[in-house]
Amino acid sequence: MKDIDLTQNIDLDLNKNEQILRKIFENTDDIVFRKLEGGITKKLKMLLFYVDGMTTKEAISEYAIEKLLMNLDLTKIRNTPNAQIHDEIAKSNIAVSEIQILTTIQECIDKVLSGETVLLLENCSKGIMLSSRGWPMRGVQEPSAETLIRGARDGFNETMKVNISLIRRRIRDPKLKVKYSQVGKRSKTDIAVMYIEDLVNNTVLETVEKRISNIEIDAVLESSYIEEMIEDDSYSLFPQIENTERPDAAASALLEGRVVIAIDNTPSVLIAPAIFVSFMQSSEDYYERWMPACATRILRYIALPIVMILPALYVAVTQYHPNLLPTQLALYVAASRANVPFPPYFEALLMELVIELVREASFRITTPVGSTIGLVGGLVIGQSSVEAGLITPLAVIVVALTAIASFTIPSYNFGATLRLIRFGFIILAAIFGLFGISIGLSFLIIHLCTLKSCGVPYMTPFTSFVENKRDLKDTIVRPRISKMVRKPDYLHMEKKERKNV
Amino acid sequence: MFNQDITPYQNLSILVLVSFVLQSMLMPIILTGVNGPEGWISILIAAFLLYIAIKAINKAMKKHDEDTIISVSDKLFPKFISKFIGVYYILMFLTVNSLILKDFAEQIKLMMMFRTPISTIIITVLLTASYATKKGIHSIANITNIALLTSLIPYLLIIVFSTYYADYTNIFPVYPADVEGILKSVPNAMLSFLGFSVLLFSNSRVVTKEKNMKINKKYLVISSVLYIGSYILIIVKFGTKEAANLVWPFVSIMKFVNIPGFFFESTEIVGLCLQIVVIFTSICILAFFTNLAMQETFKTRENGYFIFIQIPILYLMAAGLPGMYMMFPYIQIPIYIISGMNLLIPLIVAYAGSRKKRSI
Amino acid sequence: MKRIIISLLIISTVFLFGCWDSVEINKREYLFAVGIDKQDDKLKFTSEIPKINEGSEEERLIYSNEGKSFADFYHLNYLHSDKVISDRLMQVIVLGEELARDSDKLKEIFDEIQRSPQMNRRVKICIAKGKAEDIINTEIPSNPIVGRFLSDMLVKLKRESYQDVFTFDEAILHLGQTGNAMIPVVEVNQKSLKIERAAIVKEYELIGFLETDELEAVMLLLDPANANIRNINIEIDDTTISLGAVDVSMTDNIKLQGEKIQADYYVTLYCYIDSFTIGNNSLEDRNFLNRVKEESIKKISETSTNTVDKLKSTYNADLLQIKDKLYKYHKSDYEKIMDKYDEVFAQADINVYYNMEIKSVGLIK
Repeated sequence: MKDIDLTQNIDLDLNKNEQILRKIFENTDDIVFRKLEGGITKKLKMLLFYVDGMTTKEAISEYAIEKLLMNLDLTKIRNTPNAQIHDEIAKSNIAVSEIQILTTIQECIDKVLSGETVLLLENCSKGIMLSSRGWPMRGVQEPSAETLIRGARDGFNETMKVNISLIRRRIRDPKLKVKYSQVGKRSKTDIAVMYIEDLVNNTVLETVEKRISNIEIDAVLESSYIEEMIEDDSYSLFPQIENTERPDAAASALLEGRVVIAIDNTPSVLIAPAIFVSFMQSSEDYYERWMPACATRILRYIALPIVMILPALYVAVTQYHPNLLPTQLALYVAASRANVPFPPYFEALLMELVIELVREASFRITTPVGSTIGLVGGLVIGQSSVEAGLITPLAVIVVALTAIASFTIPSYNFGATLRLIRFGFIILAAIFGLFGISIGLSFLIIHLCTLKSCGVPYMTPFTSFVENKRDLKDTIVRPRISKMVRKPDYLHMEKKERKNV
Repeated sequence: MFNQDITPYQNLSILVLVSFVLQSMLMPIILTGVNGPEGWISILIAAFLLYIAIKAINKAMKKHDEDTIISVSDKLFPKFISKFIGVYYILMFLTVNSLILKDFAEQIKLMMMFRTPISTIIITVLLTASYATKKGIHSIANITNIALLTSLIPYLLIIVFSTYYADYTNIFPVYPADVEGILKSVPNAMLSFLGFSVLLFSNSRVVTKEKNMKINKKYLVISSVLYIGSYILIIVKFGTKEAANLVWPFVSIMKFVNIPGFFFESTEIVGLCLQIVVIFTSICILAFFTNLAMQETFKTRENGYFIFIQIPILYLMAAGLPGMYMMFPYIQIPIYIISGMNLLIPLIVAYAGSRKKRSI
Repeated sequence: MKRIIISLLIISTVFLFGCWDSVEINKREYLFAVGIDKQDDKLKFTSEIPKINEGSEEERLIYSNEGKSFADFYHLNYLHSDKVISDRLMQVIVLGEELARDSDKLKEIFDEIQRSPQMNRRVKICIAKGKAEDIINTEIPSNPIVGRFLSDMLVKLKRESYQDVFTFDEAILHLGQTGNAMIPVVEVNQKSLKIERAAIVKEYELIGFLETDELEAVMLLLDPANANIRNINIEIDDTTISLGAVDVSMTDNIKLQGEKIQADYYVTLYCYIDSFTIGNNSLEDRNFLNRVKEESIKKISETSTNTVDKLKSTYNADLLQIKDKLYKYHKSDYEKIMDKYDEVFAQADINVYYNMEIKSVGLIK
């Protein structure tokens, strides 16, 4: 196709404009061109075009076309020069809430493709955009991945504007800023960077904005695209940007002074910076009474090492250090292993593989069948492989415990990382025993300590636990709300009080 | 938070952790040096001497608080003296690091992996440590704090439970004390405060330098409390005679940990696992400060790459040296020299610095 | 790129080396108890290994071999078995009487246990009356694994303060500090084992045995807080009265006068009446109670005096750890007599003064 200069201005000649546009949208049947001749007495040629299915037709026909055809009195605006016709028309004859004046073809195309309607006039080098976005969308439903017992039931959907409005409903503060931009050469996905002006740390905000503006990609289909492009270390196994489906979680992140990135077509928003502790927190912690919430948190931190190293510990103990076990248990394990043909590390790897298979299978299948798969996998495979003498009962207990513990990690991303690390630990334990596990842990600590999220050290506040001792309060335990008056120190914000803002 | 320097308390944890490792390694020297359970007096004297030295040094260095000891001496002395000081610190850190590495590898081999060649253990530890060292002081400080929280504190807490089998009367007799032995052990105790040498480098990398004096004093207090605490713990459990007989008192004492409901049969392995992380961190710290000393001495812009020079040297030294416990008979005079140098060099530099300031 | 190189290096080291120490848990054999006897100039090791089987019934294997040391024994066993022998779960070491009387051999054995990084210092220790082999070979119907039986029993006895020493660690600490230790003595008792007495080991040599009541008298002075006193049975006016002690408190005063040790122990026993006779109301009478006190004090004093005399003259073994106390609290005095302590101890003036309070007479008057 011959390249058309898209940056050219809209021509005075309506026919020429139409030709150019028709050329651009060649073979694109969902673009609707509607030629009108508006005006009561004197007629003016106009061209209205939009994408079928992305616009609310009622709005256009009722408030734009009808007015233009019936009420437009050109005699009144006869005196104005040609160049300002669009102004007059826009002022007096269109009953659409949002209007924008366009000058280039490129602008027209962009607007039309994002669901707006564009009106071009004869003898006028400006186009008028009539806001008409409207497409079939999912209602506000309960988020499926982050369900709570107590707490709001609304979740984000695929429309960014709805998502932003859900957040704004929770923070009615003019200081809450929303900055739009578009990412993706082809997809032209809308992105909104949200923050509270006097709470956000400017370094973090600048980093985020700079990284977003540096993104070069053809299409953004999900928030993960953006996440991967703006995180500090994409080689790392650990997620450095948080995502949530819950407006309340996003609002609380904003109130902590973090930056929220909403992306169109994605039912979740990104939160940056995200540090280690934020992946271990769930919104529900703050909605429950504080003491049970504390207990839950501590439970999660107990689950963390279980997910990572329990199977590795099983391997290390049975292969290298049986003397760690109480004597009775050691004898029992030895006896139960007597007829098992595999070495312990293979046994552990095999069972972990089975668990991962069951998990993946139950995710891929619709919910009611999924849980059946889980039951079948867990009970039947576990039971019968013990009976067949393939693995020991202790291995089944260990693996099952690990799987259960992994579900207590609130963040799915983070849980997936931990599950992956577990395999590394099993291999290390198989080669070096407990020494291997310790070396693995040391390596993990080093890695976590060098990792940053938008410039904030990942292990904050543990890495500077004296300086940031206030932040420590909301990590392993959950303090009373009235005790959490101060905002997290690690973001270095100007306003530190939660009360008396 | 967003800059690359460390906070005062991170500095504190670096100093405490690195000293603790050397203290636990050199514990047998103190235990054998003094005839009786009064070795803690040596530690107190050593800590007091260092306290005075730290006061003097911090006062004198106030003007040069951006500089490490090497770059200060570069400004004050002729070139060959500052080079000598630089080389001294490089060699000292390298030796201490390789001794720690060797001792540590030997412990792991004996307690956990009897048939694994020691060189494998050393190589594994070194390579992992090099990954951290290259990342710079900020990462090292972060790692230290995490190691402190996840390993050192649990380790110390667990060790306290070994007092279940202890006989507290073992801390007697205090009087009449073995004065000669106590005085002779002061240099040994002084050397164990390795943080004193490290702070000459780390102080210059702290964000708020006004706090250095306070932090350094705090370090001495915490470190000597830890030192004396662990000394007394060992004396209380084993008694003077048996304690002097042990090669690794810390590993031996872990065997007696008795936590109600703690089901592990051989507790020393659990302790060793925590100790691995602690010692490992101190190896990273020392390797980093060797890098820094090399950078300052040879005046290069980067210091990360020196680790590749260090790895073979450390490996050869650790594999070649006979290990601390085998060298105890020959080690006394080198210890006197090294702890003397460690105390004198900074004092001389501080003195020269304060004189120069006055003359200006 | 650098990251990749470093991770490759680490991964390659991990995969090139390793696995030397890997022995699966079911491919090991765990020594639970080892009996050591002297046989000519060699040692005979009799070891008990629980059989690894999945059933609930417990069985055991017994290996015995001759060798110079533990290392020898392991080596031989290695050649005689399909599995790897492991001493990491060792519960009890039983020393034969003959071996215990040979101080050189005993020193070798103790040194090897102390030196070994694998063997736990907390392994329990006892001396067999007769041969250790017989102890290990005893078939106890209720608990077929002798190692576990002895281990549980020793833990119980130590907790109730019936015995002073139960682990190897304590034995070696006592021998190092004072040169003496009381090590439990295990004897065959029909189809089971019993531990009633203690062996006196001085300078790594067995020199004699303490009977049960003597052991109690010594333990009363060593560890009064936990001491267990068997009932004191006395006869007054042809009626037997039995008293039990609920609580004991003690103060001691040890000092050196000239070159003579003066050790005074003041023991107060808080007692209750265990049994008397129905129809006799004498217990309401204060004088009668005083008589009871006098009689009982006379009775226990007698045992104490006899025991102390036996320790001083017969064995010359300072089981009361007077040496240790002198060193800790009177160091300068201690240094004066350090070299000839045995002689000084034989001449020592040790007195035990008893006092008794009857706290309760039980549920009836």
